[in-house]
Amino acid sequence: MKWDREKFLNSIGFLLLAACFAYSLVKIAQRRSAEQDKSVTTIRFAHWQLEAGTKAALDAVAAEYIKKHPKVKIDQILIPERVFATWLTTRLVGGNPPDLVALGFGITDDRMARYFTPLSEEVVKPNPHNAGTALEDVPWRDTFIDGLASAPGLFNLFEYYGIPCSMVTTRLYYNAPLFEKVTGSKVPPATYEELTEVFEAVRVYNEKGGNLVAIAGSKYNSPVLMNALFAAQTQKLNLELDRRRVMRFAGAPYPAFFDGSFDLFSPAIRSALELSREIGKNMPQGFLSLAREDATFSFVQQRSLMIATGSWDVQSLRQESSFEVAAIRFPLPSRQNPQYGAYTLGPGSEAETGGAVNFGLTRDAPNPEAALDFLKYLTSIEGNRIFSEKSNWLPSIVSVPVPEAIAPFAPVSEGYPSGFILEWTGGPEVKRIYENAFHRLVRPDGGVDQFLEYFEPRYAQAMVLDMELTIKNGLRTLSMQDTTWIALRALEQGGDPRSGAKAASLQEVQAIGENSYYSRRYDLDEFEKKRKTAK
Amino acid sequence: MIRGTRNFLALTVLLWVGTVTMQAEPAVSEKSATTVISAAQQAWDDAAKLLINDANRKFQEAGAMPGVESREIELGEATTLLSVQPKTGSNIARAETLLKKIIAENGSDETAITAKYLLARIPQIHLVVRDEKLADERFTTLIEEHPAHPLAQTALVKRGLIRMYSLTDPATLAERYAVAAKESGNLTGPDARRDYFLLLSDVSIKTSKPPEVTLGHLFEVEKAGNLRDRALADLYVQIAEFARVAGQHDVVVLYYTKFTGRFKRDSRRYYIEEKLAALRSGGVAP
Repeated sequence: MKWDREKFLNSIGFLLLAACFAYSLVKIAQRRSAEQDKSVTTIRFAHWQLEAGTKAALDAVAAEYIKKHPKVKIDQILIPERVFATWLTTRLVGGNPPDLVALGFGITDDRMARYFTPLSEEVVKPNPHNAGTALEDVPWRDTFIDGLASAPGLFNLFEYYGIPCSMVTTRLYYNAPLFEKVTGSKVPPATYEELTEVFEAVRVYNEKGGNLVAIAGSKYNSPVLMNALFAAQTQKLNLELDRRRVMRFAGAPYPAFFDGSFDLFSPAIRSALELSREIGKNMPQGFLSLAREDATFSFVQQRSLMIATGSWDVQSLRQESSFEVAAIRFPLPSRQNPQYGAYTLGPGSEAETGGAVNFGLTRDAPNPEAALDFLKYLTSIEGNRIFSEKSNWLPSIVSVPVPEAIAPFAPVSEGYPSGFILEWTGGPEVKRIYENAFHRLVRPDGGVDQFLEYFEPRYAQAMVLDMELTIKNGLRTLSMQDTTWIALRALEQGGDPRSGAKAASLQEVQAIGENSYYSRRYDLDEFEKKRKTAK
Repeated sequence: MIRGTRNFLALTVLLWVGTVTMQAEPAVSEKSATTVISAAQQAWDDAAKLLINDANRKFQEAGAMPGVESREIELGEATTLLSVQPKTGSNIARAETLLKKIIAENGSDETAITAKYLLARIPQIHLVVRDEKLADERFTTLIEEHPAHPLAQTALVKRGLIRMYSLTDPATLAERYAVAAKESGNLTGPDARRDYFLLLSDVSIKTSKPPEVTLGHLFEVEKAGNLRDRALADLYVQIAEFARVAGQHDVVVLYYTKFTGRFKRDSRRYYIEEKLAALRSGGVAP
């Protein structure tokens, strides 16, 4: 028999195809059979946390839960964040959503109200999975580090719709052995002054034949560090501009710009821009056109010594790196710094770090009771400890210890109120011109003057446009609140005291918002009058 | 004979059907009423959850039920029409017509007072081309007719905003502030007092009044109470800071102590603790 090579290869291909088909059939049959088994409850939850370790950690929590509830099966549905909103919308509108969904992409307040179950009555009861612990009798809400203060839905809907299983912070990661090799020290920089010494050590290292970038930069990573440094430079200025004296970053420069007490020639702004430029010099050239992946590769391939990103990347960076990855808080200029010290108060407080990875229970959940119970387990001392240890994500529950590996990421409450970021002083228009101007600040032949030469003449008009937009949006919110408030009053009069409490809260929120709306409209009008007179 | 018997039987059946129908009619009405109340409840519930278009549809459906002439249903329809998306002039006009009808039928009950309030809000914030003069007039009518009602009290605040920040009034902001401050005595409801003094405190800051004046307003806000945690935390900080500018050392310490005692997870806490420590030791806060 003649050897027919083509026929043989085709047969192999066919056999492989048949094997794949058979495998798929078996998997589908297994799934169908599991679904048809009425004695098994399948809980499905969806999220976009594809970072290394997160899925395994949630699987570990699920496995532990299943040990206690053998008739339960738990499926994770992982959807990339780019398509999460579209995917979720289809599932919600189609009436076949998973039981639990991570709240964020594709979720607006009205969608939350329409498609998710409020958990307000649940959060005031103790979490049964904390029985026998110090949190046994503590209401579920109070077992969270942030007391669910930033829970989705709370601000506008006055209901708890999301339950967080973690928290996130941002840090400066560094390659520990390379750091020692370059600087001759194991001690990381604590201040900006010490960070500049590291920059100098990298320069010397490169002069001796090295090819190292101090900080991996990209459009995604660079603002993480630059914004922290900028905000530290505007801390004192923010307090000076804060005429209402609330000492909170609440857009103080916005009204200050319109009453003439703030402009771009403030020494603190110049200083913050200079600091941004200095940092930019220690990132790769053209970093603004690089993507997040480029910066990550540069760091894990040891072409960069440091990278700024969030705690969500710790597991990925550690798994992908062949070296020890350490992390520190951003080294900020100290008050003694001769160039930058005059404008800063000190490191910002992280006391208000809110919950992250919030899961909501869908209204059409096939197994709402079981899913809610699993969510309670995930946020019990035991469940959250397993999640935190396996994922290296911060816990969200008070009594859960922060694993040693992620200790540098724990929020630090000791610190000062934050300053502001220039690109956030207005709205989308200010952000747009800032982004257009930014390369003038950081490119080698650029500088603060080149940046301001472009940015300053456009800033006033951008602020006006943003103010007009804010006023318009404010009016729309007020208008919607009227309807909601009257509805809550009607429900209260129908005998629902919870609606009465919500109506009272909404009245206060509307009063504050309406004050702001009228005040801004007046400021803008006065500003325009002055501009006309000046012309 | 047969025909007569047949006619008699037919008449008997008709009478029986008629009697049963007449007896059943009240039960059907009761059922309708229950259905309407339940539909209204559901619609208000939707509106409270920002599901405005759904709520409006439910109110319209309830209103279209045979024999239903509920002013509450009409109020619900008008209330939701104000926020139905996309917002149209014809929806606002229909809302206004419904509100006027409710008031015309009975101008003094709770439904009518709510209708009067919304009728004033329409030219204030709901119309594309707003008419604040008309809104002012309508609020004034509501305030004069039902001075103690919570909605009339809220109307005092809303009218206060119109007058304070009018873009056409030739008086200066400081002059308007002086007039508004004198009217604060008309506010008796705690929520309205809170909101009115929030307005006065903001304008006192805008018009650079002495810190003691702003402090006075802020104390009134605190006295009125009913503030959510975030607003209360801001209020304590504001009182302490304006007291610091006014040189009222004891007030600063009192309010910063209140703040640190109550708000454990606030990004201002550490800084305020430093300030407190410096004040207690006679130093200067950073």
